[in-house]
Amino acid sequence: MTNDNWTKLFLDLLPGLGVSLQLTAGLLAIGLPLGLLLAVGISSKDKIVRYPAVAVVEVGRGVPALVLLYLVYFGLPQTGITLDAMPAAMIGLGVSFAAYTSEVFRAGIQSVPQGQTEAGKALGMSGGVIFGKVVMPQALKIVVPPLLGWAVIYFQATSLAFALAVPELLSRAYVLATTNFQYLNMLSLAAMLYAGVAIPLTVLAEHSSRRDAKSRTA
Amino acid sequence: MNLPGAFSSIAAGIGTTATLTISSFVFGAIIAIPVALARVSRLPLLRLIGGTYIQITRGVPPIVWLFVIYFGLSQFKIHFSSVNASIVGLSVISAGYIAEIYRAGLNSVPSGQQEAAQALSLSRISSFTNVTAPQALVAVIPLAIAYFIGLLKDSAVASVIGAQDITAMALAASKRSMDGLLIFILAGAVYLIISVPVAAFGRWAGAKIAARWAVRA
Repeated sequence: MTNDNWTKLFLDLLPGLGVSLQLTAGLLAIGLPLGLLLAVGISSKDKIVRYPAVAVVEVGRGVPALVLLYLVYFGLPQTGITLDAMPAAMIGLGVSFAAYTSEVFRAGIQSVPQGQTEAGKALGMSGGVIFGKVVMPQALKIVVPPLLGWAVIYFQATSLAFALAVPELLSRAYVLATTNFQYLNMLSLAAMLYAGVAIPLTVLAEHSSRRDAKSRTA
Repeated sequence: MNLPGAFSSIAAGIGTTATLTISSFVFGAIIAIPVALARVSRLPLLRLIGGTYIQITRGVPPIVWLFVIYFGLSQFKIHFSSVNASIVGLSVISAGYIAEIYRAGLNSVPSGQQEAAQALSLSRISSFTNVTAPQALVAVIPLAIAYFIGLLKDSAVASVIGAQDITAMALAASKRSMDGLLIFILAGAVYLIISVPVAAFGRWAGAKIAARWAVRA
């Protein structure tokens, strides 16, 4: 196959990559706040808050993401909530992302010494101000590298949206392959695009978490 | 659809899910041995090969691996059944993850153990099988069990290329009965329920092996 041909196949796949990135943005917009909320819920002393949060985390981690997508897309309509494939995929993946990252957020919040909260109280700060201005900025530094790692994993997981017929990267490669019969070329090219986004970001996340660990022990 | 009916249609897929998960885990654990040894080798070229294998298997989504193997290789007239294609794909992927688990296990053994074995003039093979490996196992078992449960859930993607596993059975039942809510809640519950005894076994085996082999400081 000629170089021109590869370039053309590559350009044909780009709109699919765009949809995959959109899915990633959407699932992060849902999953990041929800993950933080779940972390606060799990750490709560109030059982009415803690138990539901623990249940969401256990279900979100114990059930395959694909089953969550099907549940949102094919199950929710029975409760009167009918969603298009794209938002359904974002919600299913977002909940799964939140379940996994709640543990990251919880560890980040706990890493800030209790004395900081007490010092805030002694200065007459409100609980909200202490959380927002004292605990969160310090916790964020710790949670960013692992969150980046999870975001990369969920960028890859957007390929599951193929099953809901979302025209993301894998679907695009597959649909084009059914017309030009270059299955191996199209699918390998899609695989390279996934890897091309995922591998550099994974290396970056691992590198920054190592650097972080060093700066903390110093 | 009633509950027993929904359950029995989903349960028909449990065997395939178990086959996919167990075979991929076993093949992956075997392929992972040379990968992990290459990854910790003294030769830079072998380290590069091992590291690249791990990066690539983890950098491409499982479902894309399965598509490349199931649809892509058919271009070369290599045809797999959907179950076999899934086992090949999931084994290749799990080898990458399990290799990293082996490496973590090897790294967890203090280097003094190796030096002590040398001082006692054990051969390299003997020091590996009698000193390093049993202690590495203590760190490997809990990680491997956690990965097994992850693989159980990853095996659901095999349904997309036509393997008749729990997820595929649930999808078919939901299309027949239009009762997706109950069926997918039930399917999710089946995955959760399978993982509970596996996790319990992992804790039991981990404690057992730690009691036998762990280095006490």
